[in-house]
Amino acid sequence: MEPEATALPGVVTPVREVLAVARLGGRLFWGDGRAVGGIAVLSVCLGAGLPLLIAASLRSRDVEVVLGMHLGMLAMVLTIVATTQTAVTLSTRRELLVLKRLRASGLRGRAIIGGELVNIVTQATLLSALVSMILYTFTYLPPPELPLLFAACVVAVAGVLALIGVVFSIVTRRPDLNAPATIPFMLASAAGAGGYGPFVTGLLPGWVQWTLDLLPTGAMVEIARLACRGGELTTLTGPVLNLTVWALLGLVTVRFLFLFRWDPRR
Amino acid sequence: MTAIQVNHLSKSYGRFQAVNDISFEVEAGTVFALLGRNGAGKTTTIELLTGFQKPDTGSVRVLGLDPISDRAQVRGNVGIMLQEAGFFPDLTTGQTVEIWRDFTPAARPASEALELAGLTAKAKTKVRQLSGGEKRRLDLALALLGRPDVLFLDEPTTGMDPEARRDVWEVVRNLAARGTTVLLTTHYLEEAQQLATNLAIMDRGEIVVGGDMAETLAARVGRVSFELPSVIHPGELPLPATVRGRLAMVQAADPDLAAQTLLGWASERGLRLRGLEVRMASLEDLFLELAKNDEISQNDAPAQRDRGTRSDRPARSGDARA
Amino acid sequence: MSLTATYKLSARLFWRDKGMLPASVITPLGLAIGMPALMRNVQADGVTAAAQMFVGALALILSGTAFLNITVALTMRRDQLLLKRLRTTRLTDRQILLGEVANTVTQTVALMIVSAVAVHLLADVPLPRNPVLFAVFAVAGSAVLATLGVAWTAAIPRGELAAAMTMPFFFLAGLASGAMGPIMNLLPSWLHPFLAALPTSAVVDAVRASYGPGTLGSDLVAAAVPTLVLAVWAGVALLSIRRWFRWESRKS
Repeated sequence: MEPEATALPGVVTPVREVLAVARLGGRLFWGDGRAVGGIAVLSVCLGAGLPLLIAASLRSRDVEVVLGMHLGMLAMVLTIVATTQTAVTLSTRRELLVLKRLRASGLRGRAIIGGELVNIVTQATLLSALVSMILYTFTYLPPPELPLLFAACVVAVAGVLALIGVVFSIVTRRPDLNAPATIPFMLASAAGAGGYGPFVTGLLPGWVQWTLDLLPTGAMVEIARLACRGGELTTLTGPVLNLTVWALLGLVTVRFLFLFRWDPRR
Repeated sequence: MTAIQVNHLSKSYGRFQAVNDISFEVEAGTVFALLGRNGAGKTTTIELLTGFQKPDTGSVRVLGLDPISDRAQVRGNVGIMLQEAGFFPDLTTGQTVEIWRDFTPAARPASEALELAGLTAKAKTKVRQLSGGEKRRLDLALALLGRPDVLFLDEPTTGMDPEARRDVWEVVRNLAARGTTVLLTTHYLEEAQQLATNLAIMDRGEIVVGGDMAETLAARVGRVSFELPSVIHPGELPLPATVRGRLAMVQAADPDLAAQTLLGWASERGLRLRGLEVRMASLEDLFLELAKNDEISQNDAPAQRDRGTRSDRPARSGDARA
Repeated sequence: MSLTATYKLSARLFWRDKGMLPASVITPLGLAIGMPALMRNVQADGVTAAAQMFVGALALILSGTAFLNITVALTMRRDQLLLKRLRTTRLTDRQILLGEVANTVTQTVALMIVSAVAVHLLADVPLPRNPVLFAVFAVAGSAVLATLGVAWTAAIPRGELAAAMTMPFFFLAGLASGAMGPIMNLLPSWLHPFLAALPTSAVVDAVRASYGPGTLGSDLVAAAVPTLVLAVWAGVALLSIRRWFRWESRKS
């Protein structure tokens, strides 16, 4: 998997350095059974539980509603485990002087951020896979027609969402503030992607919907929907353009990493 | 009067025996130093004495009270400087002291506490901008705020520059002179020797040496070292000596007398003893001696070796490099 | 005296940081005021929908400002050994936690009152018919949610996971109380009693009664079940704190 290729196009950072940081972050996360368990259980409950319950309670088969719910919840879970988690992880590592120590070891800023992103994207992708597998197994939701497109879309969106998390950790530097700060973003993503069910999305005025669709999760829903049900790939120009713009914005962020603080003593 | 009383105290974390059946007493108004290498059990002992950890067996009395069951009462008369505890990074030094005064009955004025800790100039600085040594001083200011009868200092001067260290020593001496009981842990042997009247040296959870500082040191030997003249064979010296490279070392209960003997012997032969050094017994010698005994006992009991890094080190007597 | 001291400390830490305000105040306020205001304008039966939405959105304030805030703040303070430092003072364990809870309750109740007034002005939602019932459940609900937040810290291994392990409840609470719209109708009916048994739903039920028509007698009846639900949750929270609360990060 090479999510950094989507996340940081054109950034020439030795892959070895990025992977070294990713390995560190991965070890910290996967080596901690309680952490993995806590995140996995809650995300699966949220991401798979709700669509599952809805599929079970609908009187007639309604793939459309269940799929909408699935993608909406996926958007919410991805925002939590990519955006919020990136912001909080970076801020915490900064506060504990871990980032400073990594810098002192000669690693470049991009390698450190890139490594954390690789790690976060991996976690987010695995969680999405788990949630989707559960739904394909236990509901009548069919597996995607174009599984590769679905996977690529999840990886790309996770990368973009994680980059937005980097921006959050530039704006709110305190780890205890990152979570509340990302909540509006999370709610907006979920609302736009259909996480509140079809009624709410229908209630919103057109301009609100249009704005919410501009979020990366909006593009994700469009691409994933097509990946699930098949269709004409050319209709994807809009969402792909959308993700590209977000990725470029992310790239600009990485360019402006000098705004990113490595040291809490300021 | 006894301010701190420790009876057969033990504490283990899982299979690691951090503190193993230690007992000691600290008289009111004295300074007691707890010494030992990293991992010897000093911090666990302090945490047991301050009620942060519950002992497995044994008992602790601070001012006659149990630090766990009588916590509120004990805390009112005790100042604690932990080795590791956080600050709110976005408050200033002055704000931190002010807030702590709210928690402390009959607290010193903030300016007095800052002055004692030498932080007056930093009152308006955010805690996140303080250096390591300055944070230790803020720690000290908070510990002194309630004019405690008993003061626990866990490595109080770590990270301070020599001048700051001397300032803190002065503060501790003054407090002790006014009747405060101080229990401190330290890596710095000089610090213990400067401040403490009593000491205990811990190793692997046990107290290996303990008692009155002066008496403990008096029972140890001093030493004389010098460069062995090239024409002399070690066996020709008037006193038994260990030789490593060109450096000869003579151990003696009275090192002054030994030095006189050696100088007399050398002048009879028209020799010069270059680099002659006479040293009274110091805590450092005591430490080195303990380390040496440790290595020898390790070597004598190969069956007990379970720590590879230690056991594959050859035993060398007279290894003087700390 | 010492309880006021911890209360003052928590309040000072919360309000002095301007970075905190958008996150902890403006977000829940925006949701609790903005969503009903939106409903007022886009729905045919605007005022009713706005009132419905507003009462549901109180669950967001409760789970965001009370539960999420205290969980994240306490976990961070635990990991930074700040709780340990507070324990070197004369404060008892109870005072330290009560100070935090009391401060959280103040903020939450203040937000609930501000948003009730704001939706009255902006979306024509009437003020509660029985303000006492509203106030009692605002205070009791925030206290129970804050205490549950204290208890939940024990389940969180490290500070950086606090947010991710708390946000799902924010969503769940909003969903169960109708703040996320009528998605409840899609869920199986056996699930409804469970969602209604959430502490946030109990507060929302009681507050809904304080807005709707009724008498003192009917209010007391309407408050009975929510009171019981909150009492059970309070008991669960207190027992968990006794049994599992950690003052320092895990050493193993």
